[in-house]
Amino acid sequence: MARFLFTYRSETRFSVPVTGHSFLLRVLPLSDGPQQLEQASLSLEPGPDSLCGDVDKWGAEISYGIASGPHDHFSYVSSGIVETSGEPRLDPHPSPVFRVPTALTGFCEEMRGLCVEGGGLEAAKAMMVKVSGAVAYVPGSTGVATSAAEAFHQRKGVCQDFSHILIALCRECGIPARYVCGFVTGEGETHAWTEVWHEGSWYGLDATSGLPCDDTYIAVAFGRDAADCSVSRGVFTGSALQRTETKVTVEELFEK
Amino acid sequence: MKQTIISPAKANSMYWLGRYTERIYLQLHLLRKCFDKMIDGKPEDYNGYLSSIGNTFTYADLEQERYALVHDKYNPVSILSCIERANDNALIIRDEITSPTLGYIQMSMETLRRAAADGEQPTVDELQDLTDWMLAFWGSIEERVYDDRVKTLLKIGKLVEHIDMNIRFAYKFYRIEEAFASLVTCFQKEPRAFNADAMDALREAIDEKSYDPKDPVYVNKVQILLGNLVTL
Amino acid sequence: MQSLIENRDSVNRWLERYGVRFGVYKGGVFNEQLFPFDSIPRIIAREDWQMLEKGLVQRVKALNAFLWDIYHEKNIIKDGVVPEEFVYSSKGYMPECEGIDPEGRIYSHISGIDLVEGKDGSWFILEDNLRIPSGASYPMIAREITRKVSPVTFIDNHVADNRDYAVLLKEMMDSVNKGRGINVILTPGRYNSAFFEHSYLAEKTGAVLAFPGDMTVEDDIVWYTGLFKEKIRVGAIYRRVSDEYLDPMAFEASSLLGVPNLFQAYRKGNVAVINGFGNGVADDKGIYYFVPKMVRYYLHEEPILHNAPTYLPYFKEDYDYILANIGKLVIKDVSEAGGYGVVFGRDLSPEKLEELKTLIVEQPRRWIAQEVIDFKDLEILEGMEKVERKADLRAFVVSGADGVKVWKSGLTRFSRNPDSFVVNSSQGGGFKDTWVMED
Repeated sequence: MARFLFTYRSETRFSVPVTGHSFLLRVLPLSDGPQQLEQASLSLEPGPDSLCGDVDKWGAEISYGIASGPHDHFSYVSSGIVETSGEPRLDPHPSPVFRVPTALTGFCEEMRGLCVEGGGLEAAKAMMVKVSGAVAYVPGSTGVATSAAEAFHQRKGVCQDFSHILIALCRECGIPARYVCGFVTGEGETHAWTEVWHEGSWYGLDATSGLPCDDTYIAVAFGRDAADCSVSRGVFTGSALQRTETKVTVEELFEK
Repeated sequence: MKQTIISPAKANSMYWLGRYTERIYLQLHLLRKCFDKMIDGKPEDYNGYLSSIGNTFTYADLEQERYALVHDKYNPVSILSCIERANDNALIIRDEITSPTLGYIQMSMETLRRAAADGEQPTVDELQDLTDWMLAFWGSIEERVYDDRVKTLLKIGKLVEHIDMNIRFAYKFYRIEEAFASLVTCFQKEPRAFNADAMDALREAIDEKSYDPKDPVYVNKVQILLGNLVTL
Repeated sequence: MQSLIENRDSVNRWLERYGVRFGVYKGGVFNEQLFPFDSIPRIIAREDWQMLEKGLVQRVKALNAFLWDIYHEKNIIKDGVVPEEFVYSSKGYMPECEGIDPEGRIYSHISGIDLVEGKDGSWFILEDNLRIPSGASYPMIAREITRKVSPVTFIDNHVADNRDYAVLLKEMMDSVNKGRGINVILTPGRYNSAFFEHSYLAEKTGAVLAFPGDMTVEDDIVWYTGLFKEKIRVGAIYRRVSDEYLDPMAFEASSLLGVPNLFQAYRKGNVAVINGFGNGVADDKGIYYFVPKMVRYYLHEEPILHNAPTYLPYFKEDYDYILANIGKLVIKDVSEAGGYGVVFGRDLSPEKLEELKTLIVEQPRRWIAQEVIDFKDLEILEGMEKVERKADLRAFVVSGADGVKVWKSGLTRFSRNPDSFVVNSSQGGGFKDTWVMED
């Protein structure tokens, strides 16, 4: 059991003012069994003309709307307190879509050597360790549209690719697996890991570090692959160049 | 009844459809005069047409020139180019102007394309058909379009082009004055479609005393104001 | 009818005058070409039509019931009628649509059902097109023209008037419209292959032809925006943009053809999307096999219209049959549309046949196989000579909250190539009017 104070900041600057800027954000942690959101706030600048909240198909909080008037920057801050238990997530009937490959999580024969038969959590953990050892963590070596097979072929990638490769392996071996995007303690970027389904629950596995997830992992969104979990999407009118800086800060809170 | 909101893209197409159809109509009229001068006139008699419409292409002889001014789709001042641009805009607003109205543009374009593909010289019948269809197009708008805002936007384009062409070809002042008065009426109906500063400057420039179509500086100034007049 | 044939050139001139075209990309260049019209109509006798009409209504009702079930209770899977992998591995299944209740439980408002007539006069269903079926505008405008060009033809022959398609569409749109907003037809743009149809249907239904960028979503309501930022609520969108490009916030992020956050407005029930999101799961070529079963399962009726005899390599018995008889079958890739990914076993060399077999063995779920149907060929005019060509019929079924109606006509497409069975318009065919006889 742990409590955290989290802050997610994003600031985008446009080279010329843009208008009609629609956005959709996933920047608040989930509130479900093993994780409770105690306090949360989201502020945007400039204030949008419309701002709505909902949950997406897998239960993640989404905030979306439109900033119509001209603006040359767009920033938002989400913050709050979240309590995590590190326990697996109960789900007696996982959606069958987590058994089938997607464009980003297709298996390729080159990965065959990493498969571990036998099924279940132990096999998934063994594959996690293998992925972590087989692929090097190299920032900038892949992009958002890089598939598991492409990343695996070059044996390089970032957390998104490690997760996609582990998902591809698990699904190939008959283990339901899903992508998780979220926060981890410290200061930096959002992180991504994998959850695998075993006997009625989802277990978090971090193929980047090669370790199972503990209570320092704060989930924000789930999905079939990274495309289901975009932290931020936006479209606007205007031919502007844009530059975005983001920062996540997560500090553990201790009882006084 | 159709709702009366017009999107920016459609408004833009209405304006340009108005401009191109008017340009075609006037250019056909001027072309006939130019072709007449090509029969036994001197180059300075007919070259005025080419420079006034802004032609930048050169052709080997008069035969080729006659063909190209109507049929050369690569020359942006040819009738065929103008009708293709008119068609690009008309297609976007089929639901506003109706298919029978669009038909006059389509028919003109196909007739020209066929004649161009056959490599034929423009004939008097072909040019007359085009003139008739441009007039029928405007008649069809009058007959079939009930939304005043659509008509106004088309008409703004038509008048802007009319004034522009009349100045390029140094028509008498009263011709410009008439068209401008009509444009002012459109401005009163739909002021938000206009740049008010450009309108004020035009009111000053379109004045009998300052009207000087032989002065390239004056012509250029009016053309820039006309270009900036509409904020679509 | 002779008068209609003699006046073929006149009909084609009128088609040209109205800009009846079909856009084609070749080598990256966009060209608009006339969609060649053949003046000999396909004639469907009154009794045949009555049977087709009943069968089409039945089939589309079952398909809509299936779509609702898949995105809600999934009883058809639980009861073992459709294996779950056919649903969840289909590209067309969208988990986002789970639990959404479109007006009248209608997902497929406009269904384009492709049929062929066999030599013995029996009809077979080839495909159910439930996403954005196109083509109704061509026979619609052709009839408008042929009635003018050759009135005597229609005095002598009692043909059901088909010029009511726009009325069917408008009534359907009105019946599902939310919040008394306007109806719009959303086109991807001027350079879409079916742009003529989009603009013509807008004109005829009184809907507004909307382009990407004309609409915005605020507080889960869709607005059509005017020149001076004035706004009007949109109640129904007949979209001609496919699911994945329809909302860059929810689906393909790079899409410039969609309306951002439209999916949320749809989910909240504030706008009708015609056809609904997620229909691809029911027009999957693999799911097609199960449609007769759906009719029995949901309607407790025997299917009136039959599928072409189809085999799924997924089932052991069918798998063995396909591998043994591949040379006489037509093999279709379930993920492709528009006449692509269709191969006839008899056209392949022995090496190519072996390659295809390997593909089927590796990915049985990706393929279906069908017996080649002995089509009844239709006469067309080549010059002034009558020749026979392969042809199919796309029937249009319009489902609104006010009921299911079959348009008394359809798009008959034919192959110009005497050796080709593929009649798709994107592969260079022509079209005919389809006459449904009143007596």
